[in-house]
Parts: sequence; C-alpha cells; structure tokens
Amino acid sequence: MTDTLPPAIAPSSVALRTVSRAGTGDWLLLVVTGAQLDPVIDQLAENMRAFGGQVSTTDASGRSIQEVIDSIAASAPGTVLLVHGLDGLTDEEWHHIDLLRSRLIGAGTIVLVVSLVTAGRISRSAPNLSSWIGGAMWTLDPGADSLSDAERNERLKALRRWSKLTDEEVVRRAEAGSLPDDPEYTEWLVLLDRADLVAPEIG
Amino acid sequence: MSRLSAASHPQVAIREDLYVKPPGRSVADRIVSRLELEPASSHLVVGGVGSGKTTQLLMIRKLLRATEDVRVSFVDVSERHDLSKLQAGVLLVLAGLTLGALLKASNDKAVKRARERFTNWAHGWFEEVEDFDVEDFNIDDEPPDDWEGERRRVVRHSGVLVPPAPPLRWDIKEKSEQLDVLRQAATGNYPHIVFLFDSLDRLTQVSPFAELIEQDLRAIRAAGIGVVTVGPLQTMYTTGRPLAERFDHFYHQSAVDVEKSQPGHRFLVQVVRRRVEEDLLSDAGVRRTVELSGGVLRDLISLARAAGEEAYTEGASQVRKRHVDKAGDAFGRTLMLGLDKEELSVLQRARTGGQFVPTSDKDLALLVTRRVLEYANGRSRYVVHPTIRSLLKQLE
Repeated sequence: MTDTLPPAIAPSSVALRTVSRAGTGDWLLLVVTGAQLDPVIDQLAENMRAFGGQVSTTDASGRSIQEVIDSIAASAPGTVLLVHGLDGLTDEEWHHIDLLRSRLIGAGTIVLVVSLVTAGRISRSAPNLSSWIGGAMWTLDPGADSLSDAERNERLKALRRWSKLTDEEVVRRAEAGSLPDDPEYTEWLVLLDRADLVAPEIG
Repeated sequence: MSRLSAASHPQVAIREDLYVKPPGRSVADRIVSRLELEPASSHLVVGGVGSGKTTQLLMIRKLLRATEDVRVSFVDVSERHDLSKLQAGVLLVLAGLTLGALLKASNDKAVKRARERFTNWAHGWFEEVEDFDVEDFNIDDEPPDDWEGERRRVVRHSGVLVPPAPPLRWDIKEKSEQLDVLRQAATGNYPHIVFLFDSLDRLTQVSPFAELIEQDLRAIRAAGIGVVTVGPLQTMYTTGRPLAERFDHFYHQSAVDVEKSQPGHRFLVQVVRRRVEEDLLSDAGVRRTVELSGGVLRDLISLARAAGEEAYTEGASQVRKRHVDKAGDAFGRTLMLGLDKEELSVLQRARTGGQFVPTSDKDLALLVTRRVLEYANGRSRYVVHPTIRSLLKQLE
C-alpha cells in the first residue's frame, strides 16, 4: 500500500500552496507520521506567515464536535487555520462533522493536520468533507524543508518570467511599498532572503 | 483560479453566472415542468457526492420564482437542525416555520396560534402539567379523550389489523393540522407552495429518512404542498428502494459519462472554460481534467484547481496536461486511503472486468465515496474513478 500514500511535501511547499489559496474556504489535509506534532505545527505556521499568510492554530484534543466546528466556522475568509489534535475522533464523529458540513461553508482556508489512520477515517466516514479536500492531501516531510540552490534559482527564473521584472526591481518596489500583495512577490522576497520587506503586519 | 473552489456554495456559481446547462433536459427542468402541471407533487433526487444535486435544487428555485402563483422555499435542513438527531416532525416544523414567516402580518387568531405552535415545537417551551409516572407513557399513543391530567394508567390494546402504511403519529397529526391552517391562510397570495429540502443525501442510514417520508412527507403533501428533496444514495438500491417509490417522481443525478457521451464531455469542458480562460489552462489540460474527473462536477473543479497549483509551484505560466496528471495522481491517492482488502478486490474486479453489483453496505460505500462511479444513460454502467485506475494497477 505504500505506493499509494499521499505524495510527500515540504513545509515550505505546503505554506506556499496554502497561502496561494487564501480566501474562499479551501480545505487541505496534511498527514504527519512519526514526528512530534508541536514543532511541526510551529514550523508550518512560521512558513505560512513568511509567505504573507494570516495564520492561527487550534488544538481540537478533548473538545466536542460542536466546539471543533464552531472554531472552524469562526475562521475568517482570507485567513488560514491549522487544526490538529483530531486523531481521537471516531468514525461516527467524522460522520457527524460530515452531516454538519453546511456550517463550514465560507470559513477560511482550513488545514487539517492528522495521522494516516485519521486520513483514512475521513475518507471513509466523511465523504462530503473528503470531496472538498479533493486531491489537496499530502504526507508532510518536515526534513525536506529548504530548496537546493538549483531549485531556488529555477524558482526565481520562473518568477522573473511570470512578472517580467528583475530581482532589483522587485526589491525596489517592495522598499517603496508599491509591490502588489500577491503571494508570488512574497515568495520572491523570501527566496532573495529579503523577508524583512514583506508587509510588516504579517512578516 | 478563485472560481475553482470545490467547497464554495453552489449559489455563488449561479450568482456569478458560472452555471452551465447540462446536455438534454436537466433534473431541474424536468422537475419544474412537472410541478407546473402538478404543483403538489413529490420528487426525490438522488446522486453521488459532488454530482450537482444542490445546484439543481437552486436552479429549480430560480426557475419557479419566475413562475406566477408559485411560492418556492429552499430549506437546507442541516443549517437548521443537527442531522444526527433527525426525527419525524423536523421537516414539518421547518415547513411550518417557513409558512408562518410568510404570514407574519396576519391578524387571524388561528394563524397566530399556528405560528406560535410551530415556534414552540421548534424551540421547545415550558408548561405546567400534572405530575404523573412517565414510564408508562408512550409518545405514539394519543391521550384518551377523558384525559384530565389526573394520575391514571393508560393501557394500549393493539388491534388485529395492521395498516399497510403506518398511520400518522398523533403528534405529527397535530402539526399537520396546524400546517393546514397556515396553508389555507396563504392560499390567497400563494396558490401553490413548493418546498425544496437539501442535505438529506448525507444520511448514511436509511431509517431516519424513512421516518421522514412516512410521517412528514405525507403530512406536507396532505396540506397540498409540493416537495422536492434530495435523499441518500441508498434509496436507489436494495432495502432503500421502497422509499423512492413513495414519491411521485424519482430522479438520478448521476456523474456525466465522459467516456461514452460526447455532449457530456463538451458540457464539462464548458464548465471549466466558464471558470478558467485558455491562457491559464490549455485545451489539452481541460480535456485531461474532464477525463480524470470521471464526470463528477465537484471533482472536475477540484482537479482544475489542483492542476493550477501544480503549474504555479512549478513556475509555469499555463496549466498543461502534465500538471493535470500530477494533480490526478494526488487526487487518486486520497481516494485510495482507508480501503481494506475486500474493497480493493471489489475495485480490481470493477476495473478489469467492469463487474460491480452494489448489494452490500460496503459496495454502497464505494459508490458514496466515489471510488466507483455510476453512469445512468438509460442503462447503468459502473466504472472505478479514473484517478485510481493506475494506482489499482500498481497493486495488482
């Protein structure tokens, strides 16, 4: 079965994908295996903030279904909510969440951080929620954090092609406060080691 | 890409003119035609997750709003009631509250009383009653005519005859009478009333749905009100089938057969094109997205979105077939999660020989979770979801 596991992904890549979805209630699922959860959550949140995301986290351990749903429903559009501590929920409880899914429409971008067993449980017992997640499910590889120099250069080339701007021009505009707030420009500044120029309230 | 959110409410798509009419006569068109002729008829819509049932209900509302003399109300039951606590009377009370709201300005005593009763039934109320032993009290039994609140023991003597359809419970009968009061009062302004009930397709057990059909649906219809409801997929198969027969009309909102139906394929291409322009998503990319979606509308949107993300992280300026393939692979892996040996074996048989007969609960679960798709072009055809075919092959 190992051949069919969700694809592996680095925290920085999760962060970029999550922030690029900002806005309209998207759902992502991250499978975390054999790692301590707290540092992983911190690492993810930090990466997302570096890409300009407004991130909050919530630990669902020991909370009722209603409380979990309330906290997700309260997340504002345009923000990211990392939810962990869901591994204690049973099949019936996931089914219950699935029944109540209308309450979750219009929330922010939700990232569920779960074990592989829980991912299977969601797939089996919450088919509606699962269809919202679609293919946005990965196995987190906390070690695969940084890009190699070659990958970094490739990405910078792609961003230059996309915007038809140079690195210098992007830095100059960021300093002048006239850089658009698209996540691509935030990513660009981070790749240039100029995260200090990312909008101050989120940097 | 902001138009590609699988979790956004279908109402948003309709409002933003992203709705594309399916080929042939849509379920909405067929239901509206029938409701125009038989306004108090009942309709059941069944289909897999993400097949567009809610969108069809919303289109029915839109079309009926343009029809004179018809008042149509869309009720998302799950927004008003926890579906895990579903019981007879819930639809009836929701109908009563909705009708009551239409008659808010009425000074008629009976109407006021009926409105108050529905509010009480919905939210509960306090009442001072005689103290008695509740252990002997059965909610299904109507209190005797001479009941005056004193301590008495009620004994039920069952009759020999068992009615083929269970009678309305006394508490449902009471609600039904009050609904009729509101219905009569509304007739002047709204000669025809139709309720559209959404969310009930999420029930995985047939029994709570059966109770609603046997009690609420009968009572609402008795008041001369038309009903369209979505229902669980189980009502198409085995033990759930008799429930579908309780409706005047039944509709299967199936996935679009992208392999055998050219118009279906074209329709899905249009759905994507309405949301993403060619300079962002290539024609080959769209075609591949349609193929991999298996004709499930929500999967189509989700795959297009994921392919866009693959292109974005790669730095490509346009989504191409290879990005869709990558998105499809990730999508398939999510569908493979949680499958046991027995389910894998059923899927392998369906993949290699097209053999699939939904008889057990586990078979139905494969349909509900979209690992198996059913196409209904006159005759049912079952296929495994295109995104898991290659993954299943790897496991052979």
